[in-house]
Amino acid sequence: MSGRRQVRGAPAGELMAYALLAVVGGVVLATSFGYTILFDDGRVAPGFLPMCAGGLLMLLSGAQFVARLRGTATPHHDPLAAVLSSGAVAEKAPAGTPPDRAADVETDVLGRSVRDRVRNLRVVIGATVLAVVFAPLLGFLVAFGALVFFISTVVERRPLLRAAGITAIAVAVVYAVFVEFLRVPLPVGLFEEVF
Amino acid sequence: VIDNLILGFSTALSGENLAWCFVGVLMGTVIGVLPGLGSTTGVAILLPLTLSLDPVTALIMLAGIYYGSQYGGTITSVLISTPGEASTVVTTIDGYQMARRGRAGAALSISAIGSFVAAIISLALLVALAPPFAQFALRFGPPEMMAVMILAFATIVSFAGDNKLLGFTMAALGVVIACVGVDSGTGVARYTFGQVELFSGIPFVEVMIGLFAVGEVLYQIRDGAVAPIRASFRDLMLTRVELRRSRGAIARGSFLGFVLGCLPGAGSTLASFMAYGIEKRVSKHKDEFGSGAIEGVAAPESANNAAANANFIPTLTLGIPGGATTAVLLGAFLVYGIQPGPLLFEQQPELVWGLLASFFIGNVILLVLNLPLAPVFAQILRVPYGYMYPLIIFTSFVGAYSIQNSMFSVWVVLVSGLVGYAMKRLDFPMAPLVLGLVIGALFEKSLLQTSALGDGNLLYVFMRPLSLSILVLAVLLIVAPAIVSRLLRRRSAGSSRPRIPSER
Repeated sequence: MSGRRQVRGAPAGELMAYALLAVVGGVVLATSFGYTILFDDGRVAPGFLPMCAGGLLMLLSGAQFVARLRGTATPHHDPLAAVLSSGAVAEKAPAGTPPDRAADVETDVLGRSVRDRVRNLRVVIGATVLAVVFAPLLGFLVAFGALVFFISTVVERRPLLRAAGITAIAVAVVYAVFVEFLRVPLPVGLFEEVF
Repeated sequence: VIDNLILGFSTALSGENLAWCFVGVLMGTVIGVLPGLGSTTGVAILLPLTLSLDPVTALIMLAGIYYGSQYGGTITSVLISTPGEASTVVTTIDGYQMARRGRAGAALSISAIGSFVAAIISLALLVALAPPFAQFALRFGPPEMMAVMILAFATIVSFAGDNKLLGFTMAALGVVIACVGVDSGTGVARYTFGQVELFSGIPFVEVMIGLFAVGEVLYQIRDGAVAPIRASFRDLMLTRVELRRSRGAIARGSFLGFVLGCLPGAGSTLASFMAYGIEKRVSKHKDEFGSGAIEGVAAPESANNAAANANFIPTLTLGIPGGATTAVLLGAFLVYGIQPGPLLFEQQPELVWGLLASFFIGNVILLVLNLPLAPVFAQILRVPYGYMYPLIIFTSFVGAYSIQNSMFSVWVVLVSGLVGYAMKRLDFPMAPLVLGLVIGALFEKSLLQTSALGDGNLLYVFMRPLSLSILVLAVLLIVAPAIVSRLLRRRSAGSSRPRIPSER
């Protein structure tokens, strides 16, 4: 699903993204010469496409970085944005809220403010990284089962019993489909004897 | 064609294929309805589940998910103004307004009928045109293939948004990522840093799972939840006036959708937007557009379904995806060891015609499912997103692992998920990136062959009439909209300027 999208002014984020892309492009361009650009008879060699694509990436990103800095960039309007913003997405800040605080008090239908949602996002990302790191050690099902349980209890604040039920169903379905039906040898880690 | 159709239907109507087609369209509808999932994500996540199936059966199921989710995506567009698919975005304008006026059922009904009619029209055209086009495509050498791929980039960039430079940037990034791995022409390993996992390149199915599934989940967590409008069986009935008003819109949407869907890289989103725009111009009820005009639902819904089917023309006959979802489907073909292209119709008739016949069957199933059951599917929206997204994350990672039984795939999904989230936050278009990633290797192959054919002269691509014509079309796609809008601006400025009486 595309989700709701708003035209956001995120100059710092955009600048960082363009800078990063320009650096990646530059590195690819510079290193492409190590792979030979053209053979002696003029035919295209392995370095040709990385040189072109890397160069293009560096130039285009660099140009947009500069344009953003100068404030002359063409704003990117995803055609979805205007349509989606017409849908009721979030309750607006109460009257009298200072403009600089307005974005922070926009709440969704569950009553979560932007700050709450950003915190949830960070927690989910952190927990997912941990699940991936520990999957070979603890086993895939245990690590990701723990992730589902953690998100259900800590982020979504479900009662322990309900969260345990969701986790058990998720693990059972994944086990049935992937391990039993598809015979995927998921890493079992420390629990080798159990699985 | 008749013999091939008989072969196709006998394949598609086998018990196993029919069952998986049903499963595919049903799952597709549910996936389209579920927040955080769309056809591209759905196909990417469920691809690993099909690895144990026969390729024909697997592709029938995956294609079912594709067009099933087009139907499902409409439900969320109408009921909560949140498109299930990029191609149903424009449906939110009038569909949601109809829902607010108590005509949610009518909007869902007309979109199901319009989608079905468009699917049948476009499938008839697909069946009639794809084989001769495949024959024609046999004349395509490396320069023509290279030109078609440039056309695909031009198409996808020109419709990716206002900032075309950004579209090109994303396409270039996709090609850069595609450069990782062993070069097929010379066997040289590029950007692998000695890692064996990178020798075969960055696996793009895993990248898709990360970009579309994990990235979307993260975005939804950040974006918050919305309250749905309920739809009941009661208001499903269309009035005679509504049906009469929709007829022309469905016909126009179907044909426009088919034509645009044939363009490599165009996807079905463009078709729905253009169909809406045209309908707004030609409709007798222009003033109702934006406040619940039924034509505003019928036209884009017909167009996106017709385009979704037409997308299979470039995908099957040239091996160049029509849009993001067909790019993932192209990946599925490759996973099963099948190379789509002009020879596919000759070498794999059972697969191609079985797949095409399954579209007919799948669309009939969808109509039967969606007309009476749209409100039932809509009840899925009552499941809070908080219950679903941990499961989406779980299945995304386990699905990615199962493709190559490798933790490397899991890391690719994680990194791509973070990139996908960042791209959504910054409104960076994903389609050009995906296209660059998917056809990067193919593009390089045609580049190598073209330079070999031209004895090192890449300008050889301009010396062949067919490739030159395709390149001219690509340039026009980029340049023409700017020229036309400038001319229109000049004309409107001229007409609004006060007339100065002639001195003569």
